[in-house]
Amino acid sequence: MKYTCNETFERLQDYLDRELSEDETRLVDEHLSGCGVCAEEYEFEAMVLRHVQCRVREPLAPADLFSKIQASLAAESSAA
Amino acid sequence: MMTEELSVQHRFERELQPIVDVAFRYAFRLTGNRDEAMDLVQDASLLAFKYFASYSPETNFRAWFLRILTNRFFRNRERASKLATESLDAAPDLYLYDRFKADGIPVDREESVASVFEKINEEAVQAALAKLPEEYRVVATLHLVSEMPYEEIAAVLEIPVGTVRSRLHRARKQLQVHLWELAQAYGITPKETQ
Ligand SMILES: [Zn+2]
Repeated sequence: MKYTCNETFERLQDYLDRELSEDETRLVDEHLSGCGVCAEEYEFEAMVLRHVQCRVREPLAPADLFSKIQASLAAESSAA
Repeated sequence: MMTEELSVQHRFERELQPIVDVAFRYAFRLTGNRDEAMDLVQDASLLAFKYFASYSPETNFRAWFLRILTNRFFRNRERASKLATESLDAAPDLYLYDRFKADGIPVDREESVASVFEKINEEAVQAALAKLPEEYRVVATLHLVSEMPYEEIAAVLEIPVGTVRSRLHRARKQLQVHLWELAQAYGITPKETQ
């Protein structure tokens, strides 16, 4: 069995998120390695996603957040 | 009694510590504000601690905690202003890809995409996310900040996996439309990217 361009495209977002079954992943892999059009679309979508992810990966939690939580938990525990 | 109390708190903190960063990032992207995000994570922590007995050990603490945080966020929002449930028009597939092609920007080069994203900074992406209807924004944000599998997102938001999938895919398409609008507002033209 082989996927058509349409069948591949329908699965592209799930493929990007590694949400396809092993069989589906293999079929998409096979199609992308033999179809320049779909491969280009896939690479582009992957690039856009990487850039967007990179922009939202910040910020780290403020250094004092966890200690603040610990303090309020301690207060809650002793009040109980 | 005292040592018993301490050990519950200690167990809770041990679960919480590794996910504080992702919880804060998620809260920050939801609220768009550092102080509100701090408050939200702290509120959720207290609430989660209170109900920690209902958490089954060895299950997914991250999903359990983020569910509490998300519910807290929606509760606060409801109080502030009743949300209009906005529908999301179907954005076209491959929107950016087609816009790049139409404007003669090479789609197969990392540099051309990178040059557009140089202009679309963190605030711009935040603004683009903020334009999404809330139920789409929550799914997209959760996936972007944590790369959680769909099933875990479904557990956090208490919605079916199929709903996660369709909301995420539609949100991403709409996000591309917003990003292109922003890129244009920032004056990005093919000439500049060459
Ligand atoms: Zn193809």
